[in-house]
Amino acid sequence: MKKLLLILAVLSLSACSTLESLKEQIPSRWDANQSLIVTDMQQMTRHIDCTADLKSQLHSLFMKVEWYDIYASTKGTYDMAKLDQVMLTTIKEFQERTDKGPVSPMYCDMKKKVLVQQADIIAKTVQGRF
Amino acid sequence: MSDQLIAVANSGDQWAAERAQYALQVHDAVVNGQMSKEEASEVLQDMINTQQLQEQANADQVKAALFFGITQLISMYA
Repeated sequence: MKKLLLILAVLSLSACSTLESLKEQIPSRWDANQSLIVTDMQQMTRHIDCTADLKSQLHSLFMKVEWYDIYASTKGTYDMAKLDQVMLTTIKEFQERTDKGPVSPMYCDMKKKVLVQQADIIAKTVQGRF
Repeated sequence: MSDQLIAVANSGDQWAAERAQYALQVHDAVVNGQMSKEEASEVLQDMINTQQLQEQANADQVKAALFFGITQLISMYA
């Protein structure tokens, strides 16, 4: 009986991992919460003000993208969760540089352009689902 | 190297031209002392990462369209 239970436990674990890997292969469906948050991300990147305090703006943006990442990962929409990693890296590096001291206006302007592009790419993918 | 970027910037491909112009702006900013080399390297790497993100997003969109298209066909036959 113990052996049977052990076999069943191993089989159920194996089934779970197969199910998870299968879920990773299936494209996720349109989601209202993700659509809302990516629009927020688009709007926030467009309104980055390089003449104002960057730390608070970047922190707010990071929190927004992190929210998206946690939600997408928890919901199991792996295809959407992997999209935000590039944007998180771009923001983290921007934050690290602003933590060290003032950044050049040109650097800030280019980072803003890159972040707008990345938010747009993620938003089009999130909104373009069925 | 800049010749290639100038060629892309003047090409008809709006998406690529815009990005090539950004890269040229970064290069000009370094030459004119408006941006440090470290800042420029980071921004240029961001541009490459963004290009890879775009390719991944395109692939995901095609995959999703294919998957749901086939699913619709299956539901029609059911």
